[in-house]
Amino acid sequence: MTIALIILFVCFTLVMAWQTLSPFIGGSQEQLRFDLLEDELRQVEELTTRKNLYLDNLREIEIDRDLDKLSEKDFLELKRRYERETVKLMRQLDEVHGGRGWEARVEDAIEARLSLDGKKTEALEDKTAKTPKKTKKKKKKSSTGKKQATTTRATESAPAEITGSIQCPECDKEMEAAAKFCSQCGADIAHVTPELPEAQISAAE
Amino acid sequence: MATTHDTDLEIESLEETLGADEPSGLHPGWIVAILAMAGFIAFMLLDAFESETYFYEADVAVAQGPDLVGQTVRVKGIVEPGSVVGEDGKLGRTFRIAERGKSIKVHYGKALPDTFEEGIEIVAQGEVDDDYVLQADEVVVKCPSRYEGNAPTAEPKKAGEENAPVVR
Amino acid sequence: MIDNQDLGTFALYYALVVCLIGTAISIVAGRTGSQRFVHASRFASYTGAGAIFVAGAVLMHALLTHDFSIQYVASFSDHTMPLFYLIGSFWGGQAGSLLFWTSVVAASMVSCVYIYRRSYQDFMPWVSAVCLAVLSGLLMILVFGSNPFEGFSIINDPTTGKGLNPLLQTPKMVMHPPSLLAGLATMTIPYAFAMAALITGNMSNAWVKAARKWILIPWLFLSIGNMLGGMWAYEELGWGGYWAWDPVENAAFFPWLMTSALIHSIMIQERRGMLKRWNIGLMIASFVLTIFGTYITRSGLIQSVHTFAQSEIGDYFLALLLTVLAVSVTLFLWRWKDLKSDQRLDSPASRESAFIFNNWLLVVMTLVVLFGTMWPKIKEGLFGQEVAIGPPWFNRWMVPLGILLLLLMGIGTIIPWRRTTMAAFKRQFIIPIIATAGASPVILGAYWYGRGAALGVTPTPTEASYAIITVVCCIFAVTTMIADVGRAMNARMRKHEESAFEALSRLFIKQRRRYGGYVVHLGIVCAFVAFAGNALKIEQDISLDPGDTYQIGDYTLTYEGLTLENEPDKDIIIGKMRAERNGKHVHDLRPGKAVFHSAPNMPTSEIDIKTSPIEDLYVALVNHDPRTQAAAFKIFVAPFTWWFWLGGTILLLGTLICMWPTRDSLETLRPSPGVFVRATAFGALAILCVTPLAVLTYESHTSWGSAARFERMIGQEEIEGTNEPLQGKERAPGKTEQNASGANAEAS
Repeated sequence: MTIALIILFVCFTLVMAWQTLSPFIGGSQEQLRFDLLEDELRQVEELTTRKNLYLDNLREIEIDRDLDKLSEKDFLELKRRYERETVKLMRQLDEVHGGRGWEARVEDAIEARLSLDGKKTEALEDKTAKTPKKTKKKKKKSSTGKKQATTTRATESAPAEITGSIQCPECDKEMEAAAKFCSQCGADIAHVTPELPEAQISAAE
Repeated sequence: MATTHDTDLEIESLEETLGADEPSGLHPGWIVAILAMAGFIAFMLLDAFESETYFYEADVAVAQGPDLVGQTVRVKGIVEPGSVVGEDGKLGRTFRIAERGKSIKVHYGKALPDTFEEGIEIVAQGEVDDDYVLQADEVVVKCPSRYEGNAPTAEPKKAGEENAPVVR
Repeated sequence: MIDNQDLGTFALYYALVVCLIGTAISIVAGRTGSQRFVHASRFASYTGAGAIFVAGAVLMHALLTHDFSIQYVASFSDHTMPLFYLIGSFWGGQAGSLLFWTSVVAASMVSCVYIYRRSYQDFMPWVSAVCLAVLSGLLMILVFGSNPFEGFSIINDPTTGKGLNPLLQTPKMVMHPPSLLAGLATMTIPYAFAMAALITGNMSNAWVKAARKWILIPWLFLSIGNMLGGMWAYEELGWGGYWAWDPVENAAFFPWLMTSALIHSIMIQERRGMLKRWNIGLMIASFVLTIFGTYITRSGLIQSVHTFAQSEIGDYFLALLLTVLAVSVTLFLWRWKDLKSDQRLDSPASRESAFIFNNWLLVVMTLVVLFGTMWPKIKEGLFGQEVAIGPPWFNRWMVPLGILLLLLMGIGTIIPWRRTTMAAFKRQFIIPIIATAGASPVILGAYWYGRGAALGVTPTPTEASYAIITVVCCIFAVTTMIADVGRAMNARMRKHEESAFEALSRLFIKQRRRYGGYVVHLGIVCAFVAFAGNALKIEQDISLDPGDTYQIGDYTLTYEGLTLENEPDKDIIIGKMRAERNGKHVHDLRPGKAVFHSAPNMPTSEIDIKTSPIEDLYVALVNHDPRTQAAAFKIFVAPFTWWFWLGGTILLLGTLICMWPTRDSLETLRPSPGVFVRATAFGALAILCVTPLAVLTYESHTSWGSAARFERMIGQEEIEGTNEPLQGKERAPGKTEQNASGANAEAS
């Protein structure tokens, strides 16, 4: 039994050693892969982790407030701070993959590589098999954070021409027209129509 | 998220509202803390001086001559083969512990640890009486060779030591 | 067939080379951020760890197949040892324990690198670099200092090994060293995060957040290790206590204290951005102290009852210690300015300052223990006169500090953040204070008149007052916890309209860290109850003739004589004793002494402990006269000792609750284990934690724990009553110790 264990570990070591060397001995596309795709993927994970930590903190201070361990004033201050941090992270997340032609960019990258590798059919097939998988994975990941997923979807579904802002009927916070939920109070505002188009309409009349 | 809120979202502005700058130079609190620490350490040293027990190897202890009488000491040595006197089924053992040819007599009235045997190294602590016998109230057996090289604390802690944990 | 010796040695060399190269790659990765190097550094970690695992597997294989051409195998195992102890001999010796340490560092590095493979991009290369550098250091000690795969240089190939000392052949002793070693080894990971933060200059809370779960791991292992060691000393050694302030025990205690401080202070940094320097400093100190502890014990620098082979390995550890110290301190000073706190303390009456006081106390406790441990050596260096500092000194200092800590635990639970207004103080403190004031006299009085007074012990005024203050503080800590949990439950019940039970379970699920922490506190409170009980401890060494009776506390012990049992591998002498209280028979005690044929000069005690939450009755057979049947015994009545084990168990469970991964952190472990797997794993761990206590309690009430399990039935009829002799009867005569210990092994 221990023999099996030894063999297992030996194999593990050898495979890992190969993996260690692979970025340096592989062809140029291999190296490109390392620097392009995985980078964004990791960035998303990282930002998501940090965002979740802030969300945890928000929950913590709410409990502390409920238990009288945090004065209302401190609570609001901290809440604002954490919310800002979270929003900042969510923005960064948006920039990485949030509805700004991110998919298209990946497609482009794949296209570019496909034409580059046109001759090596084998490698090509391998690539195409791999890349879409990656894309899917990324999409799944983005849906882990509910909020950012909402924004993504919102931007996707909303036609580009709708601009301007809407006001939340609950708390009067101004938001971009495509928003489905209020960023401050969380009210459902999907049905609220933006003011600007209305103004435009009335102006046209 | 409208652009007008952007400035609000900058973290820098936040630090001002929440945090205050640390003062330059030493805070008085630090000085107090350092003084308290120094006093504490001084006290601890003094206390340690008082409660420490001199530790000798058997030959060094014997070399002290009559000075040793009446002192509480810790003596390390090897139990001389054949020197252990005591009755089976009774407490109380007298034996000699030796180091480099010199030996001192030890009497111990309590239960000896399991690992006590002739020819092994022990540490005895107690007062030396007028007959130059160490009246031990603690005998600790050093681990015999079998344990050597064992993992940390894998070795038995044999002792008739005061085993009390924190609160007594 | 491959030669174990060569394969093992080669694996070690290979691992060393990989770790050195990996360190270099990781540093490049950290400096350039190049994905290729990041990838390579990650896989270099895996490779190095893989090679170390190969070495470990080879040693295990050699042990299990009795390959006595390897010195280590011959020295620490023999043909007759059961499988369980063979596995135990892996870490039974110097070289093996070091290999085990290295493997644990490697394993924790692999899991850390894997879990964070996509997050903390700025830190991870440096974390790998630090871990790989530490591993390189350890591997150098292994390769050049004490190679476990060393063969025999002289032609002296033994056909049988020397085996393991009988005293060490108990399940607790098999599990105790690896838990301690694992605790010391896993400290590397949070330390690596602290170093990564210093190197990258990212002084935000990121390192704390990344490292916070990894800090709990060494703490958990150190707790388990220390507890098992204490239990072994108490149950097997005839030693009567569980802690003796021995240098080797202290060496495992420093990092535990330091980590306890760190676990608290990182919360302040997370929440308020304070104490950044303090945290980094504590982290460095914890890690340095683990190596320091190993150094002082392995080098034979300090006189201790624990002996280690005094080899040159101490010098290697000293080199490692100095390197780590120099590098950490340099980096720390370099980043000193950047580590400024975001905020300052608002008021001394706040949760922050309660935490800070707690930290000071824990650090002062560490200093006291460190001082007490090192003072004999310092004194010898200064004055050339060796001295010893005994447990009374430690107790004198640690007891008041411990009580203060307990008090702060109560206060820290409910005090608000930032500042306490009078109104908030009233809201939070009035109920616990009134409850404590009401409950303390009732509980103390109930115990004293119900039980304590009957023991007939008059503690000294100091002891008595310490004990009473301890109990009052314990009650206060518990009431604050109850008040706080109650308030939280109320809030939930109002908000979410849940039932009380739902609210409680939700709290634990949603806020595991906080409420897990409370559970840990509860465990500590229980341990303090046990310490307080020591004030009423009775300890007697007596010698009795058959038929004699002896009064200890309100127990009357009657010694009935000796029996001798012959087992295939040993002889067992059993002293028969019965205990009566108030004229009623309460226990049959069977302390014994086992003489192994393999080590006739080293009898091992079979101590009989009758344990209960109120008190332990503890009898050990010291020696006997086969002719007259006179025998000497060591007897204890130790109130509340059971609570120490209970406390330890609760503490472990609480730590598990804190560490239980959230759904988010499980996401990173794709494919994520299902609920079933998680539940099974948690259940198994929880059972593992409870086992020692359960076994102790079970043993104490059946024949398992004493020599009674060896008793043959002939001539037993005269013992009336109780089931214990009956249980003995059911057991087949001639049952061997191997079976018994094997069963114990399974149980734990």
